[in-house]
Amino acid sequence: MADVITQIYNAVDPFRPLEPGDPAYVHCEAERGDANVLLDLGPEILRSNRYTSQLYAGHRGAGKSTELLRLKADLEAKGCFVVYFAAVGDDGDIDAQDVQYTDILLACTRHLLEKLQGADPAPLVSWFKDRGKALHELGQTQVVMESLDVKMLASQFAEMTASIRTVPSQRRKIRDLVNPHTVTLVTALNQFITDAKTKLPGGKTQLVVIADNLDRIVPIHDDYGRNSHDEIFLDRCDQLKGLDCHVIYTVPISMVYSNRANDLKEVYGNPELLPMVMVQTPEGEIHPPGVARMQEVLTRRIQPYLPEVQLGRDIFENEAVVTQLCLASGGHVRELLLLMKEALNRTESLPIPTMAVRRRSPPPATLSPHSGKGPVGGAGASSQTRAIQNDEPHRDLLFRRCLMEYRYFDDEGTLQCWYDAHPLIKAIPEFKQAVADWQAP
Amino acid sequence: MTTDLLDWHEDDQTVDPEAEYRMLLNGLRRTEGFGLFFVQCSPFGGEQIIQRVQADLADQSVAVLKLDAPIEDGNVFKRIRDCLDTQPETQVLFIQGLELSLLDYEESKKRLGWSSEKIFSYSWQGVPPVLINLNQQRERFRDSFNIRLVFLLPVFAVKYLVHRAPDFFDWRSGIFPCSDTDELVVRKLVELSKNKDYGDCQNWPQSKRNSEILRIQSLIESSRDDINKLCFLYGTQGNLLATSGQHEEASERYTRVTKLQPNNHKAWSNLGGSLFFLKRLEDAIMAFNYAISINSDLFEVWLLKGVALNQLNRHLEAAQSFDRASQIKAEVPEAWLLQGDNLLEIERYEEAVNAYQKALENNIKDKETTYKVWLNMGEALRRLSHHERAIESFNHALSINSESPEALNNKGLALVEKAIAEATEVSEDNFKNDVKNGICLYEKSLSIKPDKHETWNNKGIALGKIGCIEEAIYSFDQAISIEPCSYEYVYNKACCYGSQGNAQDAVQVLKEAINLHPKCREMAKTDPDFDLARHDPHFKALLADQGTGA
Repeated sequence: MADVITQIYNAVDPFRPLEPGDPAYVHCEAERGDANVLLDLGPEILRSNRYTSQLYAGHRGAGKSTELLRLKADLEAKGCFVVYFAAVGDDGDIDAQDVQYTDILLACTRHLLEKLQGADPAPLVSWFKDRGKALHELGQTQVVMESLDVKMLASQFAEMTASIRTVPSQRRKIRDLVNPHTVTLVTALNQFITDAKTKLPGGKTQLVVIADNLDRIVPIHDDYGRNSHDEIFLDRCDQLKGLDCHVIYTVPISMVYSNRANDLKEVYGNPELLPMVMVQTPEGEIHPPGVARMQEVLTRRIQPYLPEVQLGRDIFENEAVVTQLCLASGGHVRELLLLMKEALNRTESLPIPTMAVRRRSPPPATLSPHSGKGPVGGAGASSQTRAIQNDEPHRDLLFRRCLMEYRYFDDEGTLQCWYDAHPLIKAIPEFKQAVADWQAP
Repeated sequence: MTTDLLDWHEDDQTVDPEAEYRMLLNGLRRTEGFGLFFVQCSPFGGEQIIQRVQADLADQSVAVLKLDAPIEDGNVFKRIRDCLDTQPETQVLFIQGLELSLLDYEESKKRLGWSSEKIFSYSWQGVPPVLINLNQQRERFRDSFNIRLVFLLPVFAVKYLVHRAPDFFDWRSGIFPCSDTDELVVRKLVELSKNKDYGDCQNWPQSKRNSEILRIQSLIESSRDDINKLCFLYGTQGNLLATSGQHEEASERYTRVTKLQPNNHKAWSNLGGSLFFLKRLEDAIMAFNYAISINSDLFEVWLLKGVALNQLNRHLEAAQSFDRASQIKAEVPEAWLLQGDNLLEIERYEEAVNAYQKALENNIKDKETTYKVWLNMGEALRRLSHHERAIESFNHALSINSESPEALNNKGLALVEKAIAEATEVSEDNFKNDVKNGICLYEKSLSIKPDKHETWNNKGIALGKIGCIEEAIYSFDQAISIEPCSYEYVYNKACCYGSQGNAQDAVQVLKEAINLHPKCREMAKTDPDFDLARHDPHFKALLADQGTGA
C-alpha cells in the first residue's frame, strides 16, 4: 500500500492527457477567454453542409490533447465517427526531421484503414499495389502487397511508413515514389471514405478525422527561405483539405503568428487557439478565478487519495503558498504539475515545507544567455507592453513557452488577447536587467 | 517571512548535491510506471550517481545503457528498446553518453564555448537526429517503456535538449544538477596529468577522442578559478581537437591559454599550427613570432614559419627562418628540402644545391622525399648549367620514380642544353644525336602526361635546333592548343617559319605573338631566326608598327 505522497506524486503525471469524463478534469473556459473546443470546433462540424477543415493551436502542454479527446467524445455522442490519432511520433508514423505533407496523408490513410474496417478498400488496394510494386522493384521493400485484406494492407503500409522514418536515403526514395501520386491517393482515399460513410458502425452519419501532434513538426527552412510549415499547411492545403470528411489538424502556435497567418485564415478560417489559464490580469493583479481553477486542478487529482483535502492545510503550509505556486505556473497546467512534482521530491512528509517549494530548479535555460536586444530583451519588452512583435524571435519565444498568451472578455464583451513572459523567467536577474534596460529612456 | 515564490533568491539557488541526490532518489522510488529524469553531471559524477542509486535502490532492478559512440541513425528509441529486450526486468535505466551524438553539431560547439559565434535559437537547421527522435517519439517512449529512464548529461547537452527536444523535455519528472565534489575533480586532474597515453591519440578512434574531450570539458567547468589547471586542460583539449582535425575549435582553446599565460610558448606555437592548418597564414606567423620571442630555440616553429612565409611568397624571410631552423637542428632532411625549394624559387641556385646535399647527407626515411631532393637538386644544377651533375641527379630521381614526367622532362632539357653548350666541340652528327636523346625523353614524358605543354614546347625547341622545322611547328601547335595564352609558344612557332624563310606565315604568327605580349616585337628585332624574313615589307611594317594595329 503505497503511502499518500507516492500516490499524489503519481497522480500529477504531466504526460497523460485526461480521458474524457475523467473526474480530474477542470473546466477552465472562463479563464481562457471562453475557449471551449466543444463550442469552437464542434458546431462547425455538426452544422456544416460541406466538409470542414479546421486548425487548433496552443502552447505546448496547455492541454490541447485533452481538449481534443473531449471533443471526440462529444462528437461521438452526437452521431459522428471520429478517427483520432497522433500523427507525429505515435507508433512508427512520422518522425522525420523534414516532415512533408505526404507523410501526413500517408498517416491519415493508415489510421483510416485501421479504424474503418468495414469499408471497401478496393481503390486503396490498387493504389498501394502500384506503389508497392514500384517500391519492390526498387528494392525498397521486401513486402509484396498482394493481399486484399485491409488489415494486411494497413500493416504493410505501416511498414512502409516506418521505413520512411528510419533511413534518410530510403525516405527520399519512398517520397519520390509517393509524392507525384498524392493526388491519386487523395482520390482513392475519398472513394474509400465515401464507401466507409455508408457503413459507419452504430448508425453514425459523419466522419471526422483529428490529427494531433502536428504542432510538433520542426520548422525547416529550405534554401529559398520557405518553411516546411508553409509547405504542409498552405502550399499543399488542397491535399490536406481535399479529404471528403471533416478534419481537424493541430498547428504550431508560431505559425498562427507567422507572416503567413493571413493566408492561413483564408484557407482554414480562424485557427482555434487554447491560451493559458489567466491567473493574473494585464495590470499585474491576481485574478482569483484563474487561481481557483489551477487549485482545482491539483485538488481533483489528489482527492481520490485524500477525500477531504484542502490544499492550504494538508498539502502546503498555508493558502498563500498555494496561490504563489499557481501564479508561478503562469496558468500552464503541465507546469503546475511539474512544480508540484519537484516540491514533492524534496519532501519526506506532508505538508510540503515552503522551503521545498521555494527551492525549485532553475528554469532550465529556457532563455539563451543574451541580454538587451536578444531573446531576454524581447521577453522583457513584451512583459511590459503585454504585446508581442510579430517577428521570428518573438515567435520563437512563443514556441518555447517563454512568452505566453492569455485571453479574456472585457466589460464590453470584446475578446482581448495579451502576452506576458513566463513568471519563472521574470524572476531571474538577466530578465530584470533587460526590463530595466528597456525602461531606461 | 516572505513567501514570494516568484522571486529569485541567490541563497536559494546554491545547489546542494546531497539534496539533489535525495530528490532524484525520491523521484525514482515514488514513480510508478513511466518516468523521465534528467541528471546534469560530468562523466565522472555520473558514474558515482549510478553506483549510489544501485546501492540505495536495492529493491529495484537498475541497468545502464552506456553509449560510447554517436548513434549513427539517431534512433535512440531503438537503442533503448534493444537494451531492455536483453534485460527485461529492468525498472530503472541509466543512459550515459548521449552527448557523443551531439558533439559534431555546430550548436554544440557554441554551447561548449568553442566558438565565438552566438546561438540563435530559431534556426532549426542541422538539429541532431537524436534530438528529433526523442522529441517526435516521445509518446512511444511513454507507451513502450513502463520504467524510469534517467539521462545523465553534461550541461551543454541538457541545454541543447531543452531547446531542440522541448516536448520530450517537457515530460520530465525532474532535472537534477549534480556537480562534482572538489575531491573528485582533483583526483581526475591528477589522473589526467599522469596520462602518458595521449601521445598515441592519433591512432584512437574519433569517438574515444570525443569522450576524452568531453571529460576534460567537465573538468574545465569545475576548475574555473585555477589558472594553471585551466591552461593545462585547455591545452590538452586543444591537442585532442587538433588531432581530430578540428582546428577552428583547437585554435579557440589555445587562444584562451595565451590570454591567461602570455609566456606559454607552447600555446603560441600550437596556436600557430592550428592557424596554419586553417590557412590563416599571417595570423599563424604572428603566433609563431610570439613563441619564438619567448624561446628562440624552437625548431618546428622556425620551420613552420618558413613554410608559411614561403606560401605567402615572402621568400627572403622564409630563407632566414629556414636558416635559423637548421642552426638548431641540422639533421632533419625534410627541413633541408624545404629550404632548398625556397631558395630555388628565388634563384639562389648555389645555396639551393647545398641545401639539397645536406638533405642527402642525413638519413632520409622515405622514398618520396629522396625523389624530390634529387629532382629539385637536378633542376638547380641545370639552371647553373652544371649539366653533367644535373643529369646525374635526374637519373637518381628516375631510379626511384621512372615514370615521372617532371624528371623525364627536366633530364631531357639538361641533355639538350648540354648538347647545345658542347655544340662547337663535337661533330654535327654527334650534336644531333645528343639532342635526339633529349627529345626521346620528352616523348617518354609526353606519353605519360600528354597535356604537359612545357614539354611540347621544349620538344619543339629541340627539334628546331636540329633542323626538323615541320615537326617543331607541330610540337608548338600542340603546346598552343593546350595553353593558348602563352606568348612564348606562339613566338617560337613564328621563329620556325622565320628560319624557313617563310615570311608570310612568320609575319602572321608573329602578329599573334605580339598580340599576346608586345615584347615579342622587340625580341624579333634581334632574333637571328627571322633574318631570312627581314627583307619582307610586311615584316618590316610589323616591327616598325608602334601599336596602331595594322
